[in-house]
This record gives sequence, C-alpha cells and structure tokens, in this order.
Amino acid sequence: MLRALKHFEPREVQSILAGISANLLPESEVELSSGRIPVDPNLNDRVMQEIYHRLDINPEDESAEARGRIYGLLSREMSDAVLTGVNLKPIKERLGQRGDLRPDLYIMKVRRDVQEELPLRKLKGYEVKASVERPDNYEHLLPEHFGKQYDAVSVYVKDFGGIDPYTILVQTHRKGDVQTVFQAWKIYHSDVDLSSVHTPLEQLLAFIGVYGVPARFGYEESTFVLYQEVPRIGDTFNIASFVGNYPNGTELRLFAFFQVKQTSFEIAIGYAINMSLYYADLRKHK
Amino acid sequence: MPPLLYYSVNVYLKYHIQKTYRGDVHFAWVSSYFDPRRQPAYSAVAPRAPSSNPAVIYRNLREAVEGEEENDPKINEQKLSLKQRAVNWHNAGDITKAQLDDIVASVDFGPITQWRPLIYVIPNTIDPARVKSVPRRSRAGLGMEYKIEDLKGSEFDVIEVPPCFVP
Repeated sequence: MLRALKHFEPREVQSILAGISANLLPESEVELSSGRIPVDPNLNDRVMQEIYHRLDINPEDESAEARGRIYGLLSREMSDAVLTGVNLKPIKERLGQRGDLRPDLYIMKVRRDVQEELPLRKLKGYEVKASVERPDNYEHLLPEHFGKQYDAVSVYVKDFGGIDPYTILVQTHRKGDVQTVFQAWKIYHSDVDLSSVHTPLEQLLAFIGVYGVPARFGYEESTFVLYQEVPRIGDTFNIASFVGNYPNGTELRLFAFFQVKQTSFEIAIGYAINMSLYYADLRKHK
Repeated sequence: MPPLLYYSVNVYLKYHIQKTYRGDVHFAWVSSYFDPRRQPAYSAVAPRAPSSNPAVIYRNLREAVEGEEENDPKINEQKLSLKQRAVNWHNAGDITKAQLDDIVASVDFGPITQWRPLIYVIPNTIDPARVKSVPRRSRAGLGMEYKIEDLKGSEFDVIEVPPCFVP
C-alpha cells in the first residue's frame, strides 16, 4: 500500500486512486459521464512523488514505458483497495465457468484413467500440465452457444520443438475454477499435418482426420460430435457404435464427454479413434 | 462531406464490460479514418499522432497480446482505465459492489487474450450531435478526433482482423 494513503479506508483509497488515475490517463481512456472524482491536490502530489520514488522514475519522464509502469502500479494498488477482504473464490469460479480465467489460475486435475494412460501415449505429466497452464493456444467451447446445459469443455495445445516436433493437445472439462483433464494426445507433426490449421479445435479435427473412425451416434453416422443431443436407442447406455470392418485385433475406442438423460445423451464432445493405428505411429518415434 | 464511417479500436474486455454492466452502451473515441497515415500528407486528417491512430493502436495491442506482454504500457493503461471507470460507476451507484469486484477481478485474473483489440465500425447514420469533436488540448495531434459517449451495441459492427491482415 502507498504510505500516503495508509490512513484512509479502502473505499476512500479506491476513490482517490480513481481520481488520480483520471488525471493521468489520456482523455480517450476516461469516461466522464459519471463525473470526475476530485482529489486534494496536495494528496495527489504526495501520492505521485511516492510513485515516482518507488518506481525510480523521473517526474519529467513522459515516455510510454514510464507511463505504463505508473499505470501498472496504480492498477495494482486499486485492486488491493477494491478487493481487500473480498472472498475471491466465488468470483474465480464464475470467471472460470465462463472461460474468462487465466489458464494458470484454474485448479487443474487429471482424471485417473488419463493419468494411467500417459506412458502408453508417450506423454509426460509435466508436459500435460504445461500444456494447460501455459498453452500456445486454447479454445473454450461455450455450451451456452448451443442452447442446452452441456458440460463446458476446453481444448489446449502446446507445441514442442526439436528434431521430431510434436503438439500436445489436451481436452478439459471446466467446472467453476477447476479444470479436469479428460483426454490428452501427443501428435507428431510428421504424422498429422497441422501446418494449415490454426485453432485448437481445428487441430483436434486434423488429428481425427488421420486416426478417427466413423461411429453411429444415435441414428447418425459421424466422426466427430460437438454439443449435440442424440437419442438413446432402446434401453442401452451405449452412446455410439462403431461403423465399418476392421482387421481382427484392431483397437477402436470411443472418446466422449456426455451426460445421460432420460431419453437421450447430451454429448459435449465425442469421436472414435483407431488406437492401433495411433500407437503404431507413436512407436515410430523415439 | 461527412465521413462514411467512424472507426474506434478497443480491447475485448472493455467491450465485454460495457456490454455486460453498462447495458450495451459504449464509450468510444473515434476517428473518421482507420489509418490517417494513408491520407495525403497535407490533408487535414494526416497529422495524427500514433497514439490516437486506430491502425497503430490495433497493431500495437495485437503485438502485445501475441507476445503475451502482460505489462505492455498500453495494456497497463487499459487495466487502469477499466478499474478507474468501474470505481466511478460504483460511486455513482450505477453498479453494485459485487459487480465492481467482478470487473476488477476480471481485469486481474483474465487471460492475455482479453486485451486483444477489436475494431468498431460505426456508420455515419448516427446522429451528428452525439459525435463530439475533441478539443485540440485533449488531442494527441492536429488531426480531428471525436468521441461518442453513448454508442449502442446495435449501432456498430465489431471486427477482429486475422493475424495475417493486421494493418
């Protein structure tokens, strides 16, 4: 906290800082329809002197960098004043559910079956963690855009270079500020061409394009389902059945995140993979 | 002749906050040219400071976001600006304390991508009385600048330019 403001209540501090900020910011960034908060000029000067001193900035320095540092400090001080004593957990939960939380601020969990399968897919736990917490790109798929109470899922990707570059693609389920990894794939660039795709979802579709197999979801055949409700046929919990003939011993697996309803499945995301083909490709790499 | 369009560059989070907490009414600093540098050198609009050139603002913000420069001066400016506005709105009784907390937390805890720039494209059908000229002392350069303090969401289009077309 700034020493010049230590005798004020947090509510007063936030107002004083807002007033000082309005004086400093370019007019294009200050909306005056709610009025400008007046600040005692002596207090304004004391605060500014303390900021210059703390940041070791010459008061005459009008450079963008100096201004940016001053804005950064004032911004942090304002947060401290506004959020003092506030329970941040429910706020983070709301932001997280909407996908508006920074990736490293989610609490990350990994489903046990995923954890157990990491070695088979030549994945390391820390790589999966890094892919979620510090991704190169990610996409929050927003169920509200699909008009039902589907689960909120996200797709994260991170590239790893070297002589045999690969991308790790991780699918998570968001609930509040908790993300649970329910799928992770190691995708070698020499096996799947990712050069012409941009978004994480497009990368997943490129992966499915190489290793995916058609499956029947409800009455429809597809290689990929996103936020879709499909009917439960008969008295079965089978979400989908494989389509086509494959040599004996071929391992086909269905990957779906869904909820079982009375007469339907609400599928957040679903696809089927020829694991024999995928594992065979993985074995080609060191 | 009045311009066909006005342009304004704003970060995504600002757009989201105005839409969510201000009834989709936006405060926009606008220009009658997206990139005044492309106008003839001695035209009235050309002498525009980079800090108020929509194309320059767009490119700088985009680079900061792509470089994940959380402490970029322009991003720090936006963070402070949004918090300052939120405190003002709260003091004026326009938003609740919970909403103020939500806005400040969004600014601090959101992903870098929330600072990506959006281009507002505003047709000139808007009532001219609402497009206020900015006095010279408040402008960064000689070129004209305008502000619209009550721009409704239905009155403009929002554009995000793919990286390969960044101006």
